[in-house]
Amino acid sequence: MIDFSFTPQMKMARDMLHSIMEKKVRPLCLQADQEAGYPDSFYKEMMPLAQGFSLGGGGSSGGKKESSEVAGMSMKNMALLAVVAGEELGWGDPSMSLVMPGPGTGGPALAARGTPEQKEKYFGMLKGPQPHWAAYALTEPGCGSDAAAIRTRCHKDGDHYVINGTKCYISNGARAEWTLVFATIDPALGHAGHRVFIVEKGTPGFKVGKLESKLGFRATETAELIFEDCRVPVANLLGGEEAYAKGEKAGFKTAMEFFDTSRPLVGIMAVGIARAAYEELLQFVHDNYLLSRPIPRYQAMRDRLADLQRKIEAARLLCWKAAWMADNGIRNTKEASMAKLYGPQIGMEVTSCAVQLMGAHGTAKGTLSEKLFRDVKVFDIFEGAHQIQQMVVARNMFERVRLTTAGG
Amino acid sequence: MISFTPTEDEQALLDTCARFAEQVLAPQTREADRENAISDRVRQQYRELGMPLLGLPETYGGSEFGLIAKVLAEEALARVDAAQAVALDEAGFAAQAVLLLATDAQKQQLLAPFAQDAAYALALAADERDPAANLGYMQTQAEPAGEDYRLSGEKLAVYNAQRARHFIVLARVQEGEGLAGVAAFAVDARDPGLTIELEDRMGLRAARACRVGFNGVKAQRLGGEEGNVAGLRRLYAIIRTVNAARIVGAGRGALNFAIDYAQDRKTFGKPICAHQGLAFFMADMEVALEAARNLVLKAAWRLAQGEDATVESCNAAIYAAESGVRVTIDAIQVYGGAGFMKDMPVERYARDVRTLANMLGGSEDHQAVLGEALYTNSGLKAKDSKAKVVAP
Repeated sequence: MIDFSFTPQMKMARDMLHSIMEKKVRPLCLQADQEAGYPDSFYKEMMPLAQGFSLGGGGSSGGKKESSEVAGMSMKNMALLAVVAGEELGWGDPSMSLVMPGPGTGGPALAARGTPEQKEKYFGMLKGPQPHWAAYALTEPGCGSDAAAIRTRCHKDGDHYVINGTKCYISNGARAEWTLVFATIDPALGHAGHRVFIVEKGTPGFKVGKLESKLGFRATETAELIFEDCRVPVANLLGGEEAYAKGEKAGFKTAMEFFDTSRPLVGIMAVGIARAAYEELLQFVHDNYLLSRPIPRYQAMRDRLADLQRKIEAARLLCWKAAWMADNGIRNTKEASMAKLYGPQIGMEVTSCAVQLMGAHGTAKGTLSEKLFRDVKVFDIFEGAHQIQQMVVARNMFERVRLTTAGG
Repeated sequence: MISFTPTEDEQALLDTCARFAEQVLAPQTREADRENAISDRVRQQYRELGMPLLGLPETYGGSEFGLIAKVLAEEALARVDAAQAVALDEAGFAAQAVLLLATDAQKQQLLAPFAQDAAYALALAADERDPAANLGYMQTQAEPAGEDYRLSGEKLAVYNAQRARHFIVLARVQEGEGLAGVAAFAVDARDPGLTIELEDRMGLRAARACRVGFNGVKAQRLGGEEGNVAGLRRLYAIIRTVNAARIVGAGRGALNFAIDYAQDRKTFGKPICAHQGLAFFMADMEVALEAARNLVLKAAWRLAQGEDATVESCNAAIYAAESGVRVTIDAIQVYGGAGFMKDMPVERYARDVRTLANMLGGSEDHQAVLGEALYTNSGLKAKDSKAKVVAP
């Protein structure tokens, strides 16, 4: 039956997260933006929540049974539940998706591809009560959305692999206990040459380069990682050597396989950001705009607000549908990309409009709307930029013509 | 629990409609458009399937399908031809108005003939020259005359008017803001005070829109003497949602043609869809339609739950109109010069969708209703009661 209602579990998750966001996160988020991080006490306080949900950006592994078990939640409707929760995270602070302690973007890949020993050891490292993070390092100066183009090299030397290269824009890269690092044995082999390693913090030859200063999303840590003859035991090859036998593209598949659940999640977080900006605007208009005299702009204002809420709702439903498909085992490549494409698109429109309609107040530092405007842009870039999503959608529209574009 | 799967019954209906549209409507589209008429044989076949009456209660020959089924069915038909879909909707919004507003006796009188008479049809007369008619600002007046009323005024874009046995007419009955002063009336189509004149309209031509004049026509008020604003609001919510579904269906039909064409047509040695400029252009069409479709389903779901769907139906209608108009025009663009020609199917979709988007309220009307519904209680209102706020 076509239905748009929440299960009691979804309602509970939404209400609980909303309350935490409202009480614990919002009061700190402007300061965290300025200081490029939350205080240590905050991360510790978030540990119970982080371990319960394991919702790091892209870290929801909805539909993938194995990883759900690892997160301690073997339940149906994981992708939908993650999407419902993701909207609240985005609403609280866009940075929440990555500052929450846990395996973050490295989690789903380790859960799905790691050997039992790897999973036990590396998920074990992240157990509380102290907060710990992990990271996922694919992007390089010359490769982002085009994952096939990685240049970081690796070669086998006895019972080790030796890694050389540089990764950039790696979320939680400096504080991660371990990082999944993508490298290639030979760029000429394309996807088949890719290998994924679990590199522990402090491994000789592995160092953190510069920490980025960003337009928005500033409470998250973004690091450059440098590998100079970094020796990693063969045992740290994700999934073991067998996984790469017979020229299988296991490394590349690892890079691609979570988009179907992570893209709707990125989309819905942008929806959460948009909703936050919309609510701010509504409140501002209520408090400041309508003085006790005729305001010719009233009708225009009301129309703009109505437009914004409509687009937010449209984006939300695209995310719900993509997640629902993932939960039901329906191929959702196109829908996931539509959600990822549209959520941040309207996120930018809504935050920009909020700033616009607040006039001089809108661009003042120290206002939530100003921060949200800066924060949302990155959602239009990571997990496949807007144009990558258009490629994916187009590729799934034309059945008789194979478009030679990458990106899932 | 969030789900996008129709029930088995709805799916079966959807399949029937899709098959009917492909096999029966598709071969007729050009002729129906050119001749400003739908073939009697098509009408008969549709009636034999029991389709026009699906939403009616069983006592009146229907099978009590809900709004979700209605929306899915109209979408499937409109994918092939929205004009024939409107022409075939012989119970349509008029029957919805009767179900929502009439007394049991009136329902019996106006709906029971559907089960017995295959030629019986109703038509809703609501649109007027001033688009704000659909917000309740109507020129058509109803004056009490004994037990009945007398109607005077003129309605535009009354679809299926020449086939109707009764008109359901919305008219002003008293002073009052917007729909508060409006009531619905049943008028016998044979009344000598009626004038019915076929219009020459850009789109939905098969549905034969007419201009209907009421010159002191005898009319029976639906429901009691007290107004039923909630019923009228719900009627408009249903209208917005069903028309939005038609727009989404027609948009999908046009986009499917464009997708097909973009793979066949070659420029610079490759199919035009392999040029990224066009591929991205068409990806945006896909997103716009999918987003509109989800909003339509949500509005239908709210209505099916018996909940107020003012916000959801306005969202669906406005979004569908924006997306549908753009997608159908863009489909012409994909075809290039060929798209402008009547030999090709896409220009008809653009005309039909443009017409649907103005039927029984346009986006500006919906937006006015939406703004009122969203912000009346949110405090977003001039605090001084003397402030002049233009509200529906």
